[in-house]
Amino acid sequence: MLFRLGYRNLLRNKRRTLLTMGAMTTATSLVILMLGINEGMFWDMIEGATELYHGHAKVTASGYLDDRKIQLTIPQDHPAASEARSTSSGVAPRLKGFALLSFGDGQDMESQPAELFGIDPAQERLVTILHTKVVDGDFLSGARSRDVVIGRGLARRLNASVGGELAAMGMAADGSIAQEMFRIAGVIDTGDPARDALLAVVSLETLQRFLVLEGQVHEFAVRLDRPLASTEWAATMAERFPDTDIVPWQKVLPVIAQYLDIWDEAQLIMSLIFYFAVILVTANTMTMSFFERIREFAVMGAIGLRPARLSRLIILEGAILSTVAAVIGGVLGASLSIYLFYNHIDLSGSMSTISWGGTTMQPRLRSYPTAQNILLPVGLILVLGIVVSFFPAFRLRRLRPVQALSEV
Amino acid sequence: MKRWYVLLALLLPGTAVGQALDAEQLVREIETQYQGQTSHGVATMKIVTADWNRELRLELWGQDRDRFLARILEPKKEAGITTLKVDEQIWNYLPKIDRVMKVPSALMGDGWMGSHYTNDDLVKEAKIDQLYDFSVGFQGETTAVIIARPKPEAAVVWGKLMYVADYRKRIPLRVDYFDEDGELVRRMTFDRVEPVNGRLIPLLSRIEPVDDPGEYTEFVYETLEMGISLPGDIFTLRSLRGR
Repeated sequence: MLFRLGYRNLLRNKRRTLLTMGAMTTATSLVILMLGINEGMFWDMIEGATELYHGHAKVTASGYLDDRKIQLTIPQDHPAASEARSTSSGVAPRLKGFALLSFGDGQDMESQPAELFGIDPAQERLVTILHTKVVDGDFLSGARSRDVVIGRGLARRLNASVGGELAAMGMAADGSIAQEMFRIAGVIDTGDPARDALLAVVSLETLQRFLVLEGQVHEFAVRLDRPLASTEWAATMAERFPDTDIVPWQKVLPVIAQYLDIWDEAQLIMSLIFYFAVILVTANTMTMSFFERIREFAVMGAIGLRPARLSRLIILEGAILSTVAAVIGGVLGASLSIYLFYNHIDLSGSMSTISWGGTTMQPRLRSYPTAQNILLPVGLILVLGIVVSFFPAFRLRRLRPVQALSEV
Repeated sequence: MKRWYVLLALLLPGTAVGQALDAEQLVREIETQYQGQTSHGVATMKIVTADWNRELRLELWGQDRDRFLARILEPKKEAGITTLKVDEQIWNYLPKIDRVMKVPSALMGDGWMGSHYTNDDLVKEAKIDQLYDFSVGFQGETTAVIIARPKPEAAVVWGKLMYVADYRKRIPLRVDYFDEDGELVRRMTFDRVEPVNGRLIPLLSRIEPVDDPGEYTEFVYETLEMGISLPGDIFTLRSLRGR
């Protein structure tokens, strides 16, 4: 009976109900969208920091990340790699070494130190976007070719171009002198001049032979389906393979991780401020409608509705109102958020890529909806609708119908 | 020469000899002892590091103070790899890929052929007297300690060198290398003194980095001859490649 009464009450003044519900619905969907966009930007920034080179997590020999000694390798067929493969969207084996590269001969010869970066192109493609950064020529094609893709800065210093031959001399892991001839397949521009001045990407097998490290790698770079959960993933893996170091990108790029933490916190505070505004608006609308209806309540009291039941009626109305608003707002917010997940809003017309704290902010609006980001605002508006109606409900207990009727 | 010293020692016993000690001349002789006018020899270089040990056999040629050629004879995998030094420049020849590579200045501090000797050692030893000021720190019966400090404008990596030498035999016993903060960084010791072409030469030298205890490079001449005639074009890029 009470439910029907409340339901009818709400329908009676459609304009007022729609106004209150509209405020709640809009607020809910906007908060969902805002949290989604925050997460989307956060995700974009993580990608910006990791997609080029590091990946979301790394599996290395114990101590390699601190020492970087060429001898600190793990076997290419280490069980941690196959385990990582089954729980992620890509695992790329890598080997690194230093060499002196030289181009040309005789008087025109240029020699430069370089970091040889040995990769398996097919697997690297699943983890990083290095292959998309080629500005001249092609990326590596096979796992065993003699091709090399060099950074733009290195190409300039060597005065070398695509098709040329590069001689490499280095020290292998056993101390012997390594020598190899490479063919320049392409030139790459990663956007980081310091890296481009040193980077020489070669095939994994060729580098393994060069460094006398057959079957060995220095690290596996891992691309996760959910980069925001990298810490948990790494912790679970590290427990299973104690003979290796398994770290999330936050450990590899601590400064960027810290920057992003600060950013995330700032966004959280912004969300809270936004939420506070929503609470004020909703509470205001509901309180106003309560005062507007005080005569109505007085009449109901006068014809015999007990104050306790009247309070319950008010709370029930609030609950109905907030439930409908939560459902509509939730669906609306989630759909907007999901829409923005698949369809980015391109902002490149009005802003360019921003480099910030070692990562980049893409000129686009993208949302990353998570269950938490949708359910949290929905839950909050449910609670809010009921809590806000408690306030008038308590006032009604002290309502004197005669006074109330004469007041207006 | 030696007889002259004995005579001098008899005439002026004790510390009086100290007045005659030319620190710069002594260091110059020590630093260029293996080169002579011309030299040719075969040596083994044993390198011990925390990660690997290896032994190289090398054939070496030298002329005056600024020309030097070294070719790996063994191990087989690296045989034919050759280093040429002319004045302050160093080239390496890599036979497997038939290329000559010049060592850029940025890598002069790196180890030569993976040893604890740096490329810089090859270049700078020839002109040590131009880069450092010398003073006698101590002088005994036969032993002298020479302190070398870099000249203000000299571009060198060391903050101080300390030579311990037998100044009568004109041979080094030990060289200590200090960094700019005065910390001992590495120590070079000498042994197996033998006469070569009328001079006394330590055929063994050993270098130990202080920061990596247990690591060292030991360089031992199997044969060494001096004052011989060498082909005129031996210290050229063509010969580096062609031999």
